[in-house]
Amino acid sequence: MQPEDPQTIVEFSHERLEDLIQALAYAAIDDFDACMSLLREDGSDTFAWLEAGFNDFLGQLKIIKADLQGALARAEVSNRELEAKLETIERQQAAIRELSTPLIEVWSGVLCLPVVGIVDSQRSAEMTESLLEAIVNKQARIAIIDITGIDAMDTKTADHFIKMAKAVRLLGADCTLSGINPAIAQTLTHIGVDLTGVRTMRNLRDALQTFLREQSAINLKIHAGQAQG
Amino acid sequence: MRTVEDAIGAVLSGAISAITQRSIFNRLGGLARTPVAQLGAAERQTILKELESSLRLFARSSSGELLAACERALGESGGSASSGGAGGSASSAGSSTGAGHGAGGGTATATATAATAATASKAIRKTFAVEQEKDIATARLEAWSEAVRIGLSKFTAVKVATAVSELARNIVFYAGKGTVELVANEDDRGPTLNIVASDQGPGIEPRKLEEIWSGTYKSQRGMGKGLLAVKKLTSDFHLDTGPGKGTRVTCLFRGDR
Amino acid sequence: MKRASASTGHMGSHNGTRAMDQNLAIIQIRNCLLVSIQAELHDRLALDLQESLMERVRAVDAKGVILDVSAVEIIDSYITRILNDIGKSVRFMGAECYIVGIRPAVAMTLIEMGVELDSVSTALNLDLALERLELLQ
Repeated sequence: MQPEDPQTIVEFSHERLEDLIQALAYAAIDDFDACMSLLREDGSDTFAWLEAGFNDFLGQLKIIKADLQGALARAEVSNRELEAKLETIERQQAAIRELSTPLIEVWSGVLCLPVVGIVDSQRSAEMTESLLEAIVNKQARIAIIDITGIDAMDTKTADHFIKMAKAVRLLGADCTLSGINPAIAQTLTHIGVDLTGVRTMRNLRDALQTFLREQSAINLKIHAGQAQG
Repeated sequence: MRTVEDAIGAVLSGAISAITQRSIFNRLGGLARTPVAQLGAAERQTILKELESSLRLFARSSSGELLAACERALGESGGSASSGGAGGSASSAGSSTGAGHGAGGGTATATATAATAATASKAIRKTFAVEQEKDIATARLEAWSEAVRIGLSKFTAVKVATAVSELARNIVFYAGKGTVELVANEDDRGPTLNIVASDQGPGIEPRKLEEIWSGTYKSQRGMGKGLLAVKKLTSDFHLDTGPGKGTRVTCLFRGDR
Repeated sequence: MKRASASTGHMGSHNGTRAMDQNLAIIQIRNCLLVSIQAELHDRLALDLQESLMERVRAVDAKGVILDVSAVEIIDSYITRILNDIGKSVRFMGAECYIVGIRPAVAMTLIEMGVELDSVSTALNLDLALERLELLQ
């Protein structure tokens, strides 16, 4: 670059200035193609240096802006993907919650709650709440909690089930625990869990059969009583 | 100079989102910048109506209390709160008239306090004086509806009401009188309800306290299980007591999202 | 024989019941006595109820007493004690006491509090309580 003489008056046409301003305006609205086409590179006077400077600067700006926009778009996409994933997880969690208490009315007045997986205090509270609501809504006389799907049980989990059984009995329904595997039976004995008031059965079928047998005995007794009276 | 905007802001902040404030100010137009002192009766009426409709939309059950707070803030006579809300009088923390009005000889005086923006908290407090047996029922009912209002589950609401019942009963039986305060708030895990029961009664001796926690304590009226029961009901329980210093129980209930 | 349906009443019907009124009427069904608890059970009312129940148990030689609590939304340790006390006195008189219609949330709360309702029997509804009382005879 040549040292500039402050006294030199730069000669240029008004048109060239107009074009430069127009080009900057295009750059401001991100229309770099229109902008570049307006900037001339053929000049050789002092004003041309300015034009060349702008040309360089705007060319680089165009590249940087394009990079930035690409990065932004990529971030946007991954953001959307993450959101979609989160939504899926939430949906799945809701589904799991729903599935974790599949209450089945196996017989008129007999509710069965098969329990699978880990039972923490939050889940046991949820299960108990649904079970109690269902007992009252269906006026079920007996609730069978089937724990065939549980492999191991610690004191805390055992305590959850005992509380559940107690709550069921408080409503006036009977509670039967079925499907205790040998390992759990040993653990329960070892940790000295008090299962008074909770009936235990080998499996769901036995529990149901016992209920039906008892029910017919009760009915017989009532009919006999009515016949006598 | 306090303007209508200030007065409404003081009441609304903490309870209702800024969006509500914006929309109500838009509807009030130029009236928002008018000094409260220069308001005519008709303008007051307009503002209260606007507030009421907004509150009904956004604050549901608490609109009565908030409206009462507004009336106080605008310098209306407090007794004219149109809708009863939670059945108590209310005052805004922003206004200087902090004392609640005893409504018709009732001993249970509710004081709803919409926290000002200065406290930067969304906590809503309600305090009930507990002195007679009927106050126990009142406090319990209020606790239940507050729990339901902030979105706790049906089961949790019953636990909250039962805990308040136990604590209020202890106050009536052992201390004679005291207060039960409900603090509704929200954290990143969901809504929370804090119960603070305090009295200036005789307090509990350390020896007796040991018996209470071991479950062996039994008072003459067959009580004494209440405190242990409350402790088992809540995840977060604090007790501050001692002979001559009264008793203060704090416990927290939360609803998970 | 109608089922004791859960009342949809509001929370705590604390309408200042002074003593026994129609809120705590004792109804006789065959040789059983039924009380539907609608009012706030405070000290005085509980004692009155206990007293008049015992009188009636003796007067009609009742074999059972059934307390319907389906309208009661909150049962704390104090109410539990009252119910247990009634259950004990009824047993001393040689009859059986049943509580029917405990709400799920109430049952859950009592269990979590570790409060035992152990001096009474429970049944889901009036029908079942009567059925069990009949079987006793």
